[in-house]
Amino acid sequence: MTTYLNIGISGLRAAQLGLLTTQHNIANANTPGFSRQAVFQSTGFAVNSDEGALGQGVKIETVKRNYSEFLTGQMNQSQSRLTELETQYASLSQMDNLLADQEAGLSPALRDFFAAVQQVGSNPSLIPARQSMVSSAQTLASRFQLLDGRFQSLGEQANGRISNAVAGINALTESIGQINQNIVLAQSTYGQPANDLLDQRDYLVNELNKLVGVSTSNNLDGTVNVFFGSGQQLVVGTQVTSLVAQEKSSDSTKMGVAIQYRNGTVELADNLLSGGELGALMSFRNGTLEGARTALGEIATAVAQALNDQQALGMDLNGRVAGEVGFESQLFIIPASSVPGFAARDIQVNPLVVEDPRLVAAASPVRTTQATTNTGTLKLTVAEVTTPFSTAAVSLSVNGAQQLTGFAGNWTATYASGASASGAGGGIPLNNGSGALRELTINGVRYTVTGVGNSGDTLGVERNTGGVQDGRNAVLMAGLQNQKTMYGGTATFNSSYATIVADTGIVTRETKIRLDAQSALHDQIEGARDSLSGVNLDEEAANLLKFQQAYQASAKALQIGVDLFEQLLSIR
Amino acid sequence: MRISTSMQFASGTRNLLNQQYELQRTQDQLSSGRRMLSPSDDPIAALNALEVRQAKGVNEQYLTNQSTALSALSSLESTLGSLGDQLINIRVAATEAQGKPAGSQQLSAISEDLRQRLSSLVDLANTKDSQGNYVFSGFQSGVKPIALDAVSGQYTYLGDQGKVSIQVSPSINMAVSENGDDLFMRVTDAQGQPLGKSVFDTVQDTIDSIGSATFNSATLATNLAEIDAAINQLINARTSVGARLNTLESVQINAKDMDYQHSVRLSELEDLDYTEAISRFARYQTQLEASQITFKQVTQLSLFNLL
Repeated sequence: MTTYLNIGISGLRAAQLGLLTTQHNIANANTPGFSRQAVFQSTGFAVNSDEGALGQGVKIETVKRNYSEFLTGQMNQSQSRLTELETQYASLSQMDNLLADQEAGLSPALRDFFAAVQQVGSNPSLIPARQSMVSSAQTLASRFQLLDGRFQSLGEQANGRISNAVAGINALTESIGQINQNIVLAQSTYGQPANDLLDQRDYLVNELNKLVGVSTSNNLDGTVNVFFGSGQQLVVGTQVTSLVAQEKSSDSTKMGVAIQYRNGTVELADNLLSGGELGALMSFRNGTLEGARTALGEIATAVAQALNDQQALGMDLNGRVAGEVGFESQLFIIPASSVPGFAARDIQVNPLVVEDPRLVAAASPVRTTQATTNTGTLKLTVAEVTTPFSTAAVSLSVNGAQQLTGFAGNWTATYASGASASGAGGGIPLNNGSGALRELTINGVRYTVTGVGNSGDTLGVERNTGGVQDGRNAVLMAGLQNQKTMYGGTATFNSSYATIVADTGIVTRETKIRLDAQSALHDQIEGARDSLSGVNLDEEAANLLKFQQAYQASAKALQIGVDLFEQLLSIR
Repeated sequence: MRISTSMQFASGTRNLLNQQYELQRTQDQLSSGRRMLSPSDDPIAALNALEVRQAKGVNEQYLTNQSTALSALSSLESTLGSLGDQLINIRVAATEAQGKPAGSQQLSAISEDLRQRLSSLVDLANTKDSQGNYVFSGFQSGVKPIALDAVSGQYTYLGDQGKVSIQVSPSINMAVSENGDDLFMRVTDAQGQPLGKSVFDTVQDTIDSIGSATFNSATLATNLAEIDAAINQLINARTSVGARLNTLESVQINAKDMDYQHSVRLSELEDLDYTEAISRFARYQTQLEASQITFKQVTQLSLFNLL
């Protein structure tokens, strides 16, 4: 008789648990990481008799979450990659936008500076032209500093975010360790899965993957271990290892990550940290950002070097040349204390030149002369001044044997045939037998030789004293703009800068493409996970009805059982 | 496939956000007129644009230099013209002496006239430009080029043989000045042989010979031949300046054409195709509106509404 009651009550109980679970699902429809739960029931132990096996109602096996370890694992991996790409893209976009402004970049400053140098070449005695050159040189130097400053602040931002990420990782691993312990307690008591705790732990591992790529392994007691990098432990069961963010021993301007042990810290190589925000920040800071900053420094160094080298080969408006008191052989100064790679931060215009733009060596240090009485057309033209040079006056005469005489020092000569000759003093042949003299180098200055010399003609080289209207050296300085002076003669200053802009653009674009692909992939994985584990309210509404009806039916069955019993009792 | 409710909201919101982003981007493009908002939009075009902009800047500098050269050469040409005219006047005046008796009143009047003209010829040779620089002293623009040496009684040149030049194109470094040495001191005769005296000394010799007691037609003929050589010297220089002006003109046309080409190229690289962008804007707008309507409708469907 009691079987009526037992079966009815087991049905009521099952329906009631079904309703409770449905309510739990509805309540947690928007809880991140929640997996919808369902009551698993089976038939109770049947009573076997000669009348057949009589069912004894329903038995509740467990409450189970709809969960796939495979999908969760996939989602963790994809999450770590997604956040890495998101962080990378955000950082790169910042840099990309910083380089986007055409008027704030290095290009216009370079252009204006060289235009001003050209002006000095055209009007070397005009002080306002020189002042304008100096002030555009200052603009150029401050543009270098500005860009470097922006790169530097991006680096500092990355450092700050690395510290925050490390703090976030520590908080999460602490919680995972705690939950591990709670799960052991909960599961060992009743031998039933601690669904909500398991969900929470999965969620925390997913959050951890947003900060750094981690892998997990399961233990028999229900706890998980968490590893990162090349297998370093973050969580083992209930044991948690802390990380610390600290300045790198190799470079104090960079924040690194170290593992905290009881008696000290052990620094981790940056490239061990992959995935998540931390991986992205490390690779952005050490890759694109560092590359751009270094390249900018290289441009600054190259500009200073090239302009200074040319300056040292000229003569200033006061008539002084290199090696003389009052001559400034540097237009730009990069202090000797400057750390390699920081030239863009440290470059400045020589303050003495700023004070007195006459010090710009716009003129060539020497000029050539032909005697008025010459009957021939032989002529020397300055082609190139090299260092060291001398401005000592030289007088050359053509002798009867068609040789230039009168110079006692070392000379080298190049002939139309391409052959060259050299000597010290004596006669310099105007023709080597197979071609005429084309170039002559004396006292560190190379001259092109044109025309025909007659015996008795004299030519001279003299210091360019008073040559204030000579802008030849400034024209050579201006020419550096289009010369491939950088990277083994493959790039101009501007094209090197353009490469920074384009490289950043390309990396940003690539990252965006990869991010879009990863987003789509992640949406798919998340969709698959949600499809299995997510709550659908319509479904829950239907379940509510289902369990309500089951409850009502069981209650009705119970009612009938009671009625039957009363009927029996009423037999007298 | 089973769909969870939160998924429905999340993917609906994601679509709305994506479409808003595209709409905003298109709007940014339309309001800036630029196809590339940052280099990453088209890194290669950004690289090319920087190179073209640089080339354009350099070319603009050549255009500026050409203007400077043009004004320098024009004023040089006109000064050379004045010098030539003055020498021709001197020759005409000297020719007047033909057949006049030595020591006559007429000759002394002619030589007085010539003395005046020589003085203005020297003044012209010592011309300064608008910035106060001597035009004919080579690189030493602060030095007055022609002076009478009190000891020798001859005119001397105090400048140098430099010619100021300006870079007017990548390959042409054009001389925009003539030095006094070439112009006045290094006069050659019809056979190309050096005359051995300056233009001024030639005129001075003419004056001296007209005023001398031994004046005759033969000495006058010699003097006139020398003046002719000097006139030729100036004409040659003026022709050379004229030739440079011609070169400059063609270089200028070329540079202006280049400037136009650069502008066209930059526009191709950077500017927005408005027709395409406006139609794109309209498309995104329609899409966003449709998404908003369907999002509202889909999310309003719930079994709970019916219970």
